[in-house]
Amino acid sequence: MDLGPSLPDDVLAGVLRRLAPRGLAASRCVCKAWRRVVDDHCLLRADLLPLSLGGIFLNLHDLRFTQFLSRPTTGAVVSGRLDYTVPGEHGFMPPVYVRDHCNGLLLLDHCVVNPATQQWAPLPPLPPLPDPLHTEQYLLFDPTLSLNYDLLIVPDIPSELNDECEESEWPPSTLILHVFSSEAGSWEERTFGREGEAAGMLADMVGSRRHFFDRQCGFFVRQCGYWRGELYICCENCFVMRISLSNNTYQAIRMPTEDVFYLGKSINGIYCASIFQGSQLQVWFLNDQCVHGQTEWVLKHGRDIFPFLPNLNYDEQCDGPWILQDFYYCRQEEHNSYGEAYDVVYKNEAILEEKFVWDSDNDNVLEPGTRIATTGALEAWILLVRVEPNSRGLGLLVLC
Amino acid sequence: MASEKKVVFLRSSDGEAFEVSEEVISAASVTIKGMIDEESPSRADTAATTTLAIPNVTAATLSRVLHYVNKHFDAAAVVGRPDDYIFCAPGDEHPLARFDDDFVDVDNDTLIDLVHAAEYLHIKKLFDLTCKAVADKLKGRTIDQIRETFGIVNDYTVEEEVEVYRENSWAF
Repeated sequence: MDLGPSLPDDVLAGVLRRLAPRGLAASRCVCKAWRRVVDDHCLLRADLLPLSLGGIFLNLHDLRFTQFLSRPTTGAVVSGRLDYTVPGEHGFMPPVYVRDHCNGLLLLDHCVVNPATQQWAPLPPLPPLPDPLHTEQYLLFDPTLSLNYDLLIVPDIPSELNDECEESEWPPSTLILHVFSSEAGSWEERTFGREGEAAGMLADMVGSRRHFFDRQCGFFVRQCGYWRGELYICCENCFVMRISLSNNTYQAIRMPTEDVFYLGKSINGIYCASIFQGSQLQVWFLNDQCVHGQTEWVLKHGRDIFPFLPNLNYDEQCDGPWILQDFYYCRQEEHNSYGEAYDVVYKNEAILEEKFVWDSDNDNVLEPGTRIATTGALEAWILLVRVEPNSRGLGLLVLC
Repeated sequence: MASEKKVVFLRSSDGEAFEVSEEVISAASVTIKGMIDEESPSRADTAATTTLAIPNVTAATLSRVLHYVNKHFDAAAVVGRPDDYIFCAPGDEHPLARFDDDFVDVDNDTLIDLVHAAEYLHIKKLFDLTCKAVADKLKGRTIDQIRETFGIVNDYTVEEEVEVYRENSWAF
């Protein structure tokens, strides 16, 4: 088969334009003729992919609505306002809470929205669930592979044992999950089969959610990552469930550590980071390219980060170049105690007009090495974030 | 109308002639419809059949193309939509989806010949179908696998290759 120089550009373009962005990126590397066809026909719009960080949505634990932390950037400015997705009376800015996110797409209660393009699509009502309080919804979206997205409802470990499940394994050998596909536009039930061993007996795991909750400093941290068509969910008893939508299977993968950890996706796949003894940082990479077909955690970094930690002094405010888009969601017209109507104008802090180059290699807001006291455990959450997709460095975002 | 029953002969690059209904091929192929329209003044009201030379398509490929065209025309007639030949788009729910899948389940060389023929004859739905089938063969492959499958020589210098990999590093 010869798809080389003899194939007319228009015909080659006809083939290549049917590829997803990831396939187009590979095609550009095949030979010069292919790169020329991809570029001349503008087939690969990498500028439309979420390859840079426009900001971070924050769910602060005592607020019912989501806030947005953004950076001045040379790229397109993203707004954290999402009220355009809510139909209703003019001037009413309802609380908008982001339930999940995946590669730039956000899941709200009633819709899925892309804050960069402000496109959004309403969601149909949830299917009837046997135990809706003990389930989590996950949004799955990878625009480098497909513009369609999926929603997945995954049950938690049961909170109470009954006689039937006393002898059961968890996760069970088959799970029936509700899946919403934007392509089909509807919910369906799909049966997923477990590959490999269960993580353990259900009797040993019941109640572990509480334990996990406590270990995470009182906050329930939702930990998951979506990588190459597979969803990785950190389950309460320190194992990761890898769910593959393409072949309806899942796997239980043990965690490398029993310390407090953070699971997330970064440049090459799924990572797990843990901080123990105050400042000992360990970062593992989940390697599933092993010759024997098994997945294993590979330790990528392990060091004491104490010397780099900034001084977390709450009395001093540090004004860095990050901007919190601060919204007050409330009725525009309210009534005071005398019954008089007055306007409440919600604050919407403007994004700075100036354009800055965002250099993730030189992005410290706090100077490292000035920490003056330590009292054991870190007082701040340290989140490992993928600051810039092409940067192989480690980004630490310290939220005080 | 009398013209609906007319047939034309298509002569492949290797000299074989194929008979096809003028109505069917005109509906399917923009290129052949153009050829027939050019010929029509000279053949008006005559019973003589027309033979059109298709110099870019071999007999083996032309035979497959006509099989595809006739099958889709017949299916369109069955569902009672003679004006819409619904040469179905890939992925559509369609009575011929299975036929289309089997049609492009051929070796790479045959598939590429079909892409060329569909492009030359300007049969849009067949072009879409065959291009998608080739694209499906590219999906999920590494760069080296693509080169190997499609017989492509890497003509990048080492420096150029490093650069193009760097530009697309997010995809690997």
